[in-house]
Amino acid sequence: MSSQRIVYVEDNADIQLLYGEYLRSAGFDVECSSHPEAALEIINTNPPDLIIMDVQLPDMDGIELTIRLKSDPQTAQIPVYILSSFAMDRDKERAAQAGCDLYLTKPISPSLLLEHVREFFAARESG
Amino acid sequence: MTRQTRVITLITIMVLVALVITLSAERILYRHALTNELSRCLDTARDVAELAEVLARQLKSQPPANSAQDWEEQLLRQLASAARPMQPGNTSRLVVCRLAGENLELVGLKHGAGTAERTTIPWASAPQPYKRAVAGEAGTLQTEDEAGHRIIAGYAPLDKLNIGVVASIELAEVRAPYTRSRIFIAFGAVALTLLGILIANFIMPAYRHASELEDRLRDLIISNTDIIWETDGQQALTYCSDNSSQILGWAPRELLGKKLHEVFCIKPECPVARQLSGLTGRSEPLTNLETYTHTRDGQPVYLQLSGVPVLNRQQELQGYRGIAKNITDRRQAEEARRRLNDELERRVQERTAELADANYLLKQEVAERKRIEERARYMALFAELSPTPVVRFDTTGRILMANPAAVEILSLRSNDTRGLGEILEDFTGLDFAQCIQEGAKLNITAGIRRRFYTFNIRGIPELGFGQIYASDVTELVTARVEAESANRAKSQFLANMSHELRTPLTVINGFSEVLLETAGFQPEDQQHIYLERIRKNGEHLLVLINDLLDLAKIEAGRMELEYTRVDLTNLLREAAEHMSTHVGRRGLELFVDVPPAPVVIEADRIRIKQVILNLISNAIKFTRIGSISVWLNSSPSWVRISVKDTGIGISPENQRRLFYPFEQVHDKQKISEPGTGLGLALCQEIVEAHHGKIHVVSELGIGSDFIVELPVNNHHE
Repeated sequence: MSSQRIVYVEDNADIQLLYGEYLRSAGFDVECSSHPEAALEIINTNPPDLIIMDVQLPDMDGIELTIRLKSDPQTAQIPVYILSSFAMDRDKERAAQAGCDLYLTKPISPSLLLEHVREFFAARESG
Repeated sequence: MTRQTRVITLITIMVLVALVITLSAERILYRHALTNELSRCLDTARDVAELAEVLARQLKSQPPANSAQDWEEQLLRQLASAARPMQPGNTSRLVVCRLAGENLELVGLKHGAGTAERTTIPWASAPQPYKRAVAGEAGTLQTEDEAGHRIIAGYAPLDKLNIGVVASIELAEVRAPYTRSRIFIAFGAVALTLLGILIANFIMPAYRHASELEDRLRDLIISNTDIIWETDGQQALTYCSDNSSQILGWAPRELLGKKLHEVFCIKPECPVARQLSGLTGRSEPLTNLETYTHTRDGQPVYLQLSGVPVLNRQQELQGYRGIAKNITDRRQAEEARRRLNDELERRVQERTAELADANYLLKQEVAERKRIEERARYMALFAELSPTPVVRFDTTGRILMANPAAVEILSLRSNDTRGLGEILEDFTGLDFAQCIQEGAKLNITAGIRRRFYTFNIRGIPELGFGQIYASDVTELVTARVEAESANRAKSQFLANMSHELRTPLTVINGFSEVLLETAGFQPEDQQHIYLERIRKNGEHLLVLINDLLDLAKIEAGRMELEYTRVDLTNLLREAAEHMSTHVGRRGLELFVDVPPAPVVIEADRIRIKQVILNLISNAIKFTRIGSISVWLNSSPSWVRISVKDTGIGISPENQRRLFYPFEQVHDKQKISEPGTGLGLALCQEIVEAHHGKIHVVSELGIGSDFIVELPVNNHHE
């Protein structure tokens, strides 16, 4: 089984703990980051299989981070899941335009998030 | 070559041919007769010569033989008495000739005469037949005799004697009958020529006249534009001129045998056809009968029929002969003229009526004008005294009149010639002419020196000017702007709050779930039950926050409806399906009554479904026993959805407050978990955003019926 590395960018420590730990306990290699700049460095150094991020982040929001990832040929192939508490249609639209692969609205049940992640890796395995 | 010349030539040739044939026949007969005559002459000469020989032998044997002279004399005498010419004729001669020294003695024998006429001629000048006969030859010859007459002669010798017999006849006699017949032939030719002249002079002119008449008739028929026709006793066509092809489209041979009325009348039962039958039945002449029929290709043809009966000597009808004149052009011209006359008459009548109308209107207008002038005077007086600013303007937007109040607020100068657009920026771009012409009513609100005025602009077409009444709306405008801004601020605040609330809620709900999953409590454990409570209340709080957010979005104008074509029958069935377990758990029944065919409207599918789910969910909450029914009715432009329950009902007082946010019907009979109090307000917002309406019909203790009405077409911008 190939590596199933996930980078999770979330500035709220409680939420980072909730979803990060949940995914980790499910067997995924999850690296958490509270700051987008730090996350970028992690991603560039060791590109993960999947990136999950919040929208509201310090200095740079998730949308901008996505645009930067997607415009860099080195990281453009890595799927980006956005986990946001913004539920407005406009936010979803912006995320889709930035190149986000899946937009999930918080609060989302940890098990549901896990399902999405598992689905992604299953699809990648079989694909 | 004219007919006359031809006939004369023919006759002349005939005469010539007759002449040639007759003359040739005469010639042949004459030649035949000549040959006959020649052979007869020869026969006669031979017979006589044989007889003479017999006689000579007798005479020689009778002794005593006289001198040669004597028996020859005797022979001649006996011959003269015995021999006879074969044919009685004036010029027939039978001559016995003998050589007498240098001369030739000719003895002419005459029948019954017994004597002989004797002549002696020198041998040298003797005619050929005598010479040849005496020389012992036999034959025939055409020559001249000693007297110089032209003769034909047969000659034969007496054997061993220098004696010959010559039978001759003058050629003139043989020829005489033919010469005579020639006169008759000449006469006949002359008679034939005369006959020819007679024909040429008397019969030919008559013939020529008839022929000219025929030519003339033919030319007339050809050049005539009328159809010329003939019928038999049964009125069937026996002749028809060729121009029927042009006039009727039928060639004459196609018309022959048809009845007169079939050819010239459109129907046998039409009046003209009956008239025609009547006239022909009585053998009366036809005079200018106007008939109507169709050509072969269906074009109308008018004909004028004239004809005369053809009677035989017994005054019996043999048929008719006549013409059919094509009067289509004339009839159509008449028709057009008649129509023109009718049209002219109609127009004169119309014009007369119009004039009467105009006269009436003119009178009315005069009266109206008086009324208007009266009104204008009152208006001017009223405006002058009114504390409300009043301005009167013309089609170019210039001020005709302004009362003191208007002068003050618009800062008008005396005799101000500026247009309204120059006086107040908000008036620029107004089409004053159109406003006056159409009697338009416009409202413009404008700020002047920190106050707001609403200008009611009205065009008065009958007066040709417009008036503006201004009212001070400063308080109203300020209040409205403040209210709007407060509402926006509230909505923004709600949106932000709901977002902020989500984060801690995410943590609470998320960890509750993780704990429930991972802590290993049994469902009956107190800790498990407590965790369940935390999670359930967290979820309720989330619903509340979501509703709040939706409401805020709508109020902040940020909810964007995604219009698609939505089949409501399908949507209602889905919603009912979604709620079915919920309904079943409460021991209720849910009926869905929708038309079999799709009912499609333009709407945001998710939002409309949200409304229906909300209404059904409400109905479940307030119904203890019975059922919930969902109905769908549709018309071409509207649909009506009804969600009806048999629940506790709502009092009229509560019905009024039902759709306000955070209002909940407080009732002791309330059955289940508390609602957010936002559901119906949200439903109303969504339905109204769709340009629809929602209302409730309810009676306490009987049930409630929530009715949603939506337009079929939503032309969203």
